[in-house]
Amino acid sequence: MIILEGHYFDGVTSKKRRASLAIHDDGEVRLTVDRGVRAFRFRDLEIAPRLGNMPRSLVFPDGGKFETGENDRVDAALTRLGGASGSRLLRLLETRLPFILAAVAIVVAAVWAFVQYGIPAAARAAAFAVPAATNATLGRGALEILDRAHLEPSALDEATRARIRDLFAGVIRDGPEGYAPRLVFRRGRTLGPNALALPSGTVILTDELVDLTEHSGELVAVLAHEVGHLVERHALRQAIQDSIVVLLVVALTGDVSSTSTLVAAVPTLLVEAQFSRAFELEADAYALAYLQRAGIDPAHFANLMRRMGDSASGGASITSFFSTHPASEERISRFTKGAQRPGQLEPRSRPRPGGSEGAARPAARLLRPQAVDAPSSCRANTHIILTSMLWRGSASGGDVVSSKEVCGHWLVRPRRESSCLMTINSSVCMRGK
Amino acid sequence: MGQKRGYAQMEAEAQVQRPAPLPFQFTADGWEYFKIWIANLCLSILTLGIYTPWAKVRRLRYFWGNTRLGDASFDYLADPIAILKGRLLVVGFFAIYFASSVLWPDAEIVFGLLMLVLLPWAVVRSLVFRARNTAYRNIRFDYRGEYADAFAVYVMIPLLMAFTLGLIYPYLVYRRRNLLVAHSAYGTALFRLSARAGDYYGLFGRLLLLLVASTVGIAGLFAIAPALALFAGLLAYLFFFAYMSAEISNLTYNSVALGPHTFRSELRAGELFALYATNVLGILLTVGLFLPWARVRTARYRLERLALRLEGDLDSFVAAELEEVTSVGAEFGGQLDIDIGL
Repeated sequence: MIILEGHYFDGVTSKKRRASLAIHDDGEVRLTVDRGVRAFRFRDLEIAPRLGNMPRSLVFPDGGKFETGENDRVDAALTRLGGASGSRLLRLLETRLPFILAAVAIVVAAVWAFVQYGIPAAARAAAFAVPAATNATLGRGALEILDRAHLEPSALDEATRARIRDLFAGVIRDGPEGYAPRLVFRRGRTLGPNALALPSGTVILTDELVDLTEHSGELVAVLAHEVGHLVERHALRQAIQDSIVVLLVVALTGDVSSTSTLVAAVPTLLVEAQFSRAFELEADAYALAYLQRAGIDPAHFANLMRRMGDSASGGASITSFFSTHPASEERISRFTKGAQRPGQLEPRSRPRPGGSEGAARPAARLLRPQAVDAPSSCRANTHIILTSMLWRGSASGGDVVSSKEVCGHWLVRPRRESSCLMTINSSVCMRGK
Repeated sequence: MGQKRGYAQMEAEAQVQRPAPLPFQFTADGWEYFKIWIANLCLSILTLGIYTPWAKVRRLRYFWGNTRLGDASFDYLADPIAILKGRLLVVGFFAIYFASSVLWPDAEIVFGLLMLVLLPWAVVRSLVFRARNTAYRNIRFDYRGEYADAFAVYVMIPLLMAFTLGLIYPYLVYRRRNLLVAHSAYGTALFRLSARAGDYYGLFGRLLLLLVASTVGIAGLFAIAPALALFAGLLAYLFFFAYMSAEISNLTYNSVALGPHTFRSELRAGELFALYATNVLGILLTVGLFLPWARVRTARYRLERLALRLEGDLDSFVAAELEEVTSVGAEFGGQLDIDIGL
């Protein structure tokens, strides 16, 4: 027999009474309140699972409640008479140190993996699931807002505009499907030398940037980079990723309460900056692939980037084209390497987190299979065997896709995503059989 | 044994008739809650979220169960299955919303209007669910607000915000508090809010002064030392937040009455600021693992600064007849982030 001391609340009034509960081995329970005794069956009692060291309540079928601090004795009775095995398991999980450490490890690993892989993949899938027209609505009105706040009409002459439009037409020939990118010219004012891609398909080029270029290849590089943002639907993906991150932080910190809102802001910003950087690298890869395909020296991109870095450090606005990207040296080197050894694109380099990115410039890490032109050593009469598609650096099986030759380079298109040019890194190339 | 003596002592104290306010106590422990929290998180992840209703119930049971007034603690009694059903329904609703807005862009307008109509209902259901699943001395709380009350507060007045340049905001805060308090009941006893809209206007006037003063100060500092000004701005933001939170809580609680009993809340902005600042620092330094301690500390501070001015004793409240409630509204509210905590 187990005897518990505690208090009784009848559930009719808020009065509290001293009481005791005797639990007999045959399953009979006797409640003694103010010298009155009542009998119940143990299995009819509703016993709250143990939680921390809180007083335990045992609720009777009539709604009366017996509350006791003697948690161990209640557990002993449960063990003897059966019941609540699930809650005992939970109790172990909540008290034993090894379990707790394991739980910490699982939570940390899961959160890291989700942020690192889950969110970008989910956002990508969602972004490409919606029709291009829906994607375009995201940017509705953005140009008007920019015009009001940051931009002025362009001062470029018509001949220059026509020349740049021709370059642009070349870039978008195999660009995004479903909506036609449109090029507009503006004076940048506070934005300085800059180019922006709005999700509606509008690419804005500032006069300052045009003035800074010394070769038409540089303009092509910038335009291809911006079209890369459009093709990859970066604006939509960023919007989706941002909302997932916010939801995740809210889910982890529980309620949206005072402290957690403030605390949530910091990791959210850090993670978002990292995503944004991944997009920038993706647009770079698109630009590099285009330059190589079109037979333009990728070094032009690097040249322009260096010049912009110089002009930015010379006191220009911090929102200028590349200065907001902390690792622009790394980006430059990819294009100079691309110039020397076409095909040896290095998409695995890890961007450093924590960089601050302008909101107008979505950018970042390689999230997709990376495809490159065939190395120059394998020209005609070679077969490209794609041993692995790179998904953010992790090999995920050989998904061989059809290939065709364009401008002396190998182009590889995936079977499903026809709108998206994919590049395959370090493909193994063999001489023809 | 020590705990038993503790209860006996508390009981003895409660039986003595005294005019001094009866303080709330919070007996939770940071490490104990950390263990519950991490187990909750881990199981929620491993079950892909299915466990979250159970996690919620355990969390709220732990917090309410460790909240003591006089000689008894509170109880949270919600059934996790009810919460799970509610969540599934809400997820279904949003899945349909998302799917249809992809296929048919105009669906957004229809759903927007639908949400406007459903929101007050969700608020009321969520308050009813929360109140009826909270008990003290085995007597449940209740919420008796109607759809129309919530419609005015959550649809009509926010719509007016745009036309009044936000001047109506203090009134909105007042109405939200009133919506929560004036329709709540403990057993058959109703809560009342004696504060007037004017009191909230006075409070927001003081907040505005503080905001203007600190903005001017920081702008001045920015001209001298920009880096220092950024840091000061962050601290000022936190202080402003603490001040607002303390003042609104004090004003509201100090004008709440339950039958003949009244409340006394004495939060201090400075103390709350120190609490928030250390919490933020702790959470950042531990990549979030300090969060359970932060929650326990915050709840403890707030509760220990709250007291009930008792007229007579706590024995004579009477339970009301309540029918069972489902959790759909509650979960709808949860998803829409309507946290109307006092």
